Amino acid sequence: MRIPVDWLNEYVPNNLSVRELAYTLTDVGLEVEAIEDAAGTAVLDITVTPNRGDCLSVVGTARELAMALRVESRERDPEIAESGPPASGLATVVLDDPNLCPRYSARIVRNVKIAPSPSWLQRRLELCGLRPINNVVDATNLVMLELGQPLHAFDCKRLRCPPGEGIPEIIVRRARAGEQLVTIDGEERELTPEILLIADASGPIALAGIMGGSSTEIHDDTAEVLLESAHFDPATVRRGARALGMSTEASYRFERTVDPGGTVRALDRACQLIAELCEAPVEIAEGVLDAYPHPIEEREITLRPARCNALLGVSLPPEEMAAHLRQLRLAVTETEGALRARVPTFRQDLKEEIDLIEEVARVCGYQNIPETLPESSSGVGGLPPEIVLERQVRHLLQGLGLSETVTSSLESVDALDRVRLPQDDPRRRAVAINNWKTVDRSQLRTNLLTSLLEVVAHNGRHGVDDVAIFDLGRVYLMHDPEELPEESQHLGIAGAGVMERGRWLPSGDLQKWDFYVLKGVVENLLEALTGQPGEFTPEPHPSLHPGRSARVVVSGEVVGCLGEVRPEVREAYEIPNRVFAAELDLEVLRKHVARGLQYEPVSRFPAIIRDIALLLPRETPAARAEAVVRETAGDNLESLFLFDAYEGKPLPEGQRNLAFSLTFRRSDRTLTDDEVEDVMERIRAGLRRALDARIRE
Amino acid sequence: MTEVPMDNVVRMAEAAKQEIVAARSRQELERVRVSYLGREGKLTSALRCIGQLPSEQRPAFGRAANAARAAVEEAIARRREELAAEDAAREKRDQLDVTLPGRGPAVGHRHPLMTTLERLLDIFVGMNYQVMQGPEVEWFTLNWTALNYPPDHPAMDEQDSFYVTDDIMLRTQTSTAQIRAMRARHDESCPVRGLDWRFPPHEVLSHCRCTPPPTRVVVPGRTYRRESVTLTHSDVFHQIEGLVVDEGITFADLKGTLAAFLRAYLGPDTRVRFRPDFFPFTEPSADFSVNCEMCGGAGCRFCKHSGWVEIGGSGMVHPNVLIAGGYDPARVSGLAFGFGVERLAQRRFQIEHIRTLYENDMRFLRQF
Repeated sequence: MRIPVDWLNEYVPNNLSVRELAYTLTDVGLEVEAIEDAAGTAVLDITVTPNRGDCLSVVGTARELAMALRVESRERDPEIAESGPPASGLATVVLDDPNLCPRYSARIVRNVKIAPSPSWLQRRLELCGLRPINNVVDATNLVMLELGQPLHAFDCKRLRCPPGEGIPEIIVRRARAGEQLVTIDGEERELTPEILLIADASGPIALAGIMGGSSTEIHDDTAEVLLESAHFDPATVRRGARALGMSTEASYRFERTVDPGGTVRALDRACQLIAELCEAPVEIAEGVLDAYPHPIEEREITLRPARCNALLGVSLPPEEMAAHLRQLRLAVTETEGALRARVPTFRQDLKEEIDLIEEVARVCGYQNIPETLPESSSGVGGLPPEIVLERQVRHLLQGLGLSETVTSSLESVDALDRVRLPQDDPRRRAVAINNWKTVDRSQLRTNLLTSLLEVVAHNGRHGVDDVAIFDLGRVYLMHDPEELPEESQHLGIAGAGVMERGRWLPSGDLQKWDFYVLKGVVENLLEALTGQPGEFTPEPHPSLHPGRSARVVVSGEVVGCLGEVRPEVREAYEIPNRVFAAELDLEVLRKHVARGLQYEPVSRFPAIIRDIALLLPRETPAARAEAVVRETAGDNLESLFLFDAYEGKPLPEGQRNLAFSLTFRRSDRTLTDDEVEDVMERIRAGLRRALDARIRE
Repeated sequence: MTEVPMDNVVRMAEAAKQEIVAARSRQELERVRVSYLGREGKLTSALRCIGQLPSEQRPAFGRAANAARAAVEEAIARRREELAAEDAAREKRDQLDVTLPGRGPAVGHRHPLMTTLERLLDIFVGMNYQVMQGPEVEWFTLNWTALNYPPDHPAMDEQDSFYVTDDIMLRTQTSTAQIRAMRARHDESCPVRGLDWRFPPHEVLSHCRCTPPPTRVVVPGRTYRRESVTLTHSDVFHQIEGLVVDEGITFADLKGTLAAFLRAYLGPDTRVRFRPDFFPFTEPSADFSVNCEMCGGAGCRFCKHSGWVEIGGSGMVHPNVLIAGGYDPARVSGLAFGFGVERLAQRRFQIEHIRTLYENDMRFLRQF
């Protein structure tokens, strides 16, 4: 809200500089966002928190300033001279539902002469961001800015009377389906029953608390004005304004609660102004039309000083607390061990003891409350196991040459098409946002591949083709729209281009990302975390190259997949180069993280090393051959590794040579050559039998 | 017999010279030297024969033998020099350009947002906080109702939200985890543990059958706002929420806790300022700021010329929120705070735009 400093100072004379004034207000909770210089005065742009509707006015802001400066703000009661017939003989007011509109006050002013308002008034409105219209409308707007009470002026003569009646009837009711109203901005509004209306005998004439209708607005020839000053239910106004997609100065204030006890004062102030602004004397009808069936009383709240001190961590004497509350215009009586406070109706936000405790702290000044640390509570601090694992993963992958990314969890609806997930794929069960802002961020991701490919594509567009990244992030799957979706923490890895440093080396010597580089990264990670490199078996994946994708298994459980990204998927992301990617479910992996490992003593006896080479059909997986070797070798085999996998000339077509190096060793004695030869013979026989392998000598 | 030792010595010296010239390394040369001139060397042994010679032959033999010995020694010295020169030449030939870059996998880089988050969590662990996580897709009731937002309250407008259904939304703040953290502290057997999230929050306390122990947690996580994504705005960002519930927790404790945390993170000279604010789930509520480290409080464009940088919101847990967590506000009180991680990371590394954090440009990541 914009407040000219000269206007504010009329209520609270002070010697503060504008900057000091801004700090003072900010320190009591009225945050001055900006100070603008206008000719003759500065304008404060104040952010008022949604609980303080009473501060959406100059008078309200002045009250807070006065509190901060420990002075009284100078408020004047409006003075008006009533003349002419009683208002009750000129119009009537009917409230359909006092819950939606607890109070509707109105005055009628006759003999007005519509004209432009004087320049001082126009300027004030403009400084506050309002457009001057004419003297009557400007008077109502000025009162709104001054007192916070939105007013509306109807042209009395344009209000329709019920059949057979001589005076108009103002009805406050819900809109009926199908009703329409052209508002003063010229828009035709379709109304629904959640919208509260002001109606006359002809139908809707205003949106209650939001905007008036054009049929009854003030015209140049208007001579008789009905001024409305009402208290509408905040939530009702908010629902109506949202339903219509509107937000006005009036609705903004009503949503944040307007003083139910201030309607008549605002009317009087408006009448006073109109009388001053019209050239000829106006006639203010006697009395107020005031429909207020259940008056909202001033609340009484008890504050226990001991409770207040205990919660704030201070030791203020009760009389000081009482003085603080009186600064806020609460009527406080001190009784044995408690303060009884009567809250003026403009402070509808003060409902219970805790609200008063906050007010004591605010008046006391937050800077005057000490800084202490809580007494140590019983527990100790710590990280949960899932975060501990994430940190391990981050450090390992960084060491393995990958950089960490942070990607958005919101993505486009067509992301899953781009990675070619079939319509019936379980990863299609995305959490869809029903009020998305842009369609490219309208659902939550169900896998990390889409996020990783976005990063690879972004870098490619900027000329960076060598990418080695990992992402730890959640994926979301909706199983039942009545329940929260499943959220699980995944690890995504992607690599493209050269993965080695040292570009001056012959390019053929540099390691580029390929399937086995990716697999090596995953194996290293799994070995560091679980003590085993994992098992990899071929597994088709819609986004991955057929024949170059595998699932990753740890201790018999699938933890994820990896492979080369399909060219069609790359094309969808406009990535020219080959990309290799893996995705693991960290929550599944966490179950297999090695805990409570026990050391096994290393053998002191010498090893015997033997090599074995075998010719196999190309389709026979190397892991199968390794498994046969292990099964047939028995306990004396300490370890083995594959040191050659060759196909091509001079080997027969469709055949492949695999060569393993085997290390034999026992922990209790030295093995003999004869013993090892026996084992080797068993291995050879096993390979021939199980795989039809040809053993090469 | 008389001539034999002399000839022998001369022949021996010739053979030695040939071997010396043929020696390819200093080790080989040393072997040759030892085999001739060592204590058991051939030449040494031959010289030792001098005692067996008739005395008149001794001077001549001695002269010849000494000459042979000297010749061999000289040959060795010459060869030694030659070899040293060869070594020097070879070492020069084998010299590497040590300024050429190394090879092997390039080390990876950590994302500045995540290293910032880790640092922040570590400080809280050091202050005895348990770290906890909660769902990002959350019940409407937990994001709003249980946090004491009245229905249709304009406070919700400050956090424009993404909805999945009428009941399910993307959390706008990690504060939702306050309720989850408190309910998780109840006994296994207490009905509060198993209450449906749609259960009316204000009735939770009346179902409690235990005395839940103190809670002291921080909750990091992603939060969402329905905002247009621009250089400086993101619809997804990270927050850390803190919650302490115990007997006798005060507003002074809140101030002290945040000041201690901020001084641990930003440095011991950091000044912290608290000002009244409004959040439905805390009362009294306060926003907290630190002096701008860019300008030292004098005012600059990073702090919008105020000298202060707002970090987050905080306050004493509202009694209604304690009730929704199954804690009795007559017995305990609580402090709570929350702040964005992006802003702290941006300030730490002087990253002007939040979008930079989510683009993952390798040229950006390689700097960390």
